[in-house]
Amino acid sequence: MILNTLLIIRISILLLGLTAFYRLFASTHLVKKIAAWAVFQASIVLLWLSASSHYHGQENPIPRVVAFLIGVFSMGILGIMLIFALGVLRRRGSWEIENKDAKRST
Amino acid sequence: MKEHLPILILILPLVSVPFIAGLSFTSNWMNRLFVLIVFTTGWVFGWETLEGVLSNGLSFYNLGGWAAPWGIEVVLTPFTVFLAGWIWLIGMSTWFYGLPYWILQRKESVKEGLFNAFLFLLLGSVLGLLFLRDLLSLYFCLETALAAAAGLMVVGQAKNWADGFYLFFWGSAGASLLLLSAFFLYASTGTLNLDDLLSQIFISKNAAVVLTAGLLSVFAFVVPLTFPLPSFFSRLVSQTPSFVMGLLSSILVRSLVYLLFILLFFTLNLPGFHQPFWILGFEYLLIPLLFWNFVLAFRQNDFQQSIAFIGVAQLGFLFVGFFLGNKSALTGSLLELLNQLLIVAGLFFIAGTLRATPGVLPLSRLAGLGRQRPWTGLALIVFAASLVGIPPTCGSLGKWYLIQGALERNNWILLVLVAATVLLNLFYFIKLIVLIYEHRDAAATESSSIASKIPILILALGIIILGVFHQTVIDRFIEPALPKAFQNISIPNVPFLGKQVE
Repeated sequence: MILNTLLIIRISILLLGLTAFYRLFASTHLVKKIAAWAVFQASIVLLWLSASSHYHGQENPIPRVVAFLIGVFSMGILGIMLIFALGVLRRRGSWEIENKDAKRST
Repeated sequence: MKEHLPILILILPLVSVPFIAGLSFTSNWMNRLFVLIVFTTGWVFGWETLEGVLSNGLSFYNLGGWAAPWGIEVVLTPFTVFLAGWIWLIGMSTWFYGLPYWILQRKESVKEGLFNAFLFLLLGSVLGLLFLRDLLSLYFCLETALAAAAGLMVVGQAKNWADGFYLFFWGSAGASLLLLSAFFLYASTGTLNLDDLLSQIFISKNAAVVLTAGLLSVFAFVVPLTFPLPSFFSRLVSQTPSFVMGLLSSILVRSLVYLLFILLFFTLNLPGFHQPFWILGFEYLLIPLLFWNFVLAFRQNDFQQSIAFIGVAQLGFLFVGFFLGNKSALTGSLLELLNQLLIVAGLFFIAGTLRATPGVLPLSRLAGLGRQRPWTGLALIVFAASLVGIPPTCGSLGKWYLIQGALERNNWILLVLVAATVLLNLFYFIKLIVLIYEHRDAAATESSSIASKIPILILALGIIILGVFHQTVIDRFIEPALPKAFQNISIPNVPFLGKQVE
């Protein structure tokens, strides 16, 4: 029963991560893209925690510490991404820029 | 003091970042003086470290006294210190080259300070990528390097917010794959230390884990390695100051290729495992794809676009060596890596002297360059000759070893590819020489300052020095960086290439 619960949690995280990964490419809205990256990053950390938090039946503290470090670092990355997105907004007046850029490059 | 040099050399640029950013609000000259002091201190530390690693072979430092694999380990090898020296030189050249640009923009003192701060952030994180032996630390360094690169693009030219965003966003998405690879490896082996991972993987011989982690690691670097391909970064080349482009496509891209080499060969020992045919096919496809950028480069009418394509196309030579995997080919790849660091930066620096402000740079602007500015013309010939592989440049030796490696492996496909690319480059080289020396009545080029000439000449000189003293470079720096199986020792103590070495 415990195994099944863990399996369901892992599959849910995996689906969430894959959906976020798809949205990285599919979204043309900068903020939605950033949100997709945040979910993708969170799903990686959660998947790893679910796979490594226990070792031979004993609790393993290292993954939790690392997950905390990654979480804090990811918040910083998120902030920098938003600063860049705001810069784009100020220059272009829109969050939706990717399609225009794709047309220009071709 | 000397025992702390490995960490001092790493944290010097990082610690200087807040001071430089703070000084940008006071005086330009104070800021410039401080930058010069940091660069000089870096040279002193680097020289001392180089002496140490040349006499001892390797230099280790455990952060906080925690020994590896529990703690974070800094490992300095002769090659990484040598590579770091060239990276430091290119960083310093970029700063010196950019001085007239900032002096012209008198009201932008804060921007200059921020530019210098981002420059040191990039240098520090790139050194981290070379020296740290822990996957998680490498992830942090990669993200920091991408943030610094995007920051440099925006500070260099305010129009670049979109391209800065793309580089950082897609670079971070790729870095997340590296993180996924790290976690996957940790879940399988219980360690994040690179050397420990190699041992664990060798014991477990789990090919599925290795191939998955290897593929994730490769995809993690796709976006930074395509920088600054005009197909993806459409307006970047024409809008960004050339010295920023030269810096990023030289040190950021090339250090990431070296990191990928370390991860695939020294950590995952990927060639030691049986690879499915589709991965081999992908590897064979990658090289012509990269070389195709040479064709695209030579079809451009804009000199900077052409350099941008060349910067990416040259990576093909590095991957040829990694793919062949024998001693000659790997020696050739590492020589090419050093060569490409200088060529790409030098070519972008020359492009920068031909245009006063960011914008298009038609090839016709090169006409008469060799007669009007002989030193710049000569430097351009050195860079182009090294690109083609004409002796005594470093590029000639790199390509020679690659061809030798292909012959030793009887890999005619790669041999033909490399030879055809060299011939194509030779055609471009002849065309370039005709252009810069024959068209006497062409439009006059703008005069360039001493500050921009000196870095170009230093980089050109570097290519000649590396070429002339290539045997010393190979013996003292490159050979110790090769897998143990290829060094002059009787029993290889690190598994590599599996049956192929035996």
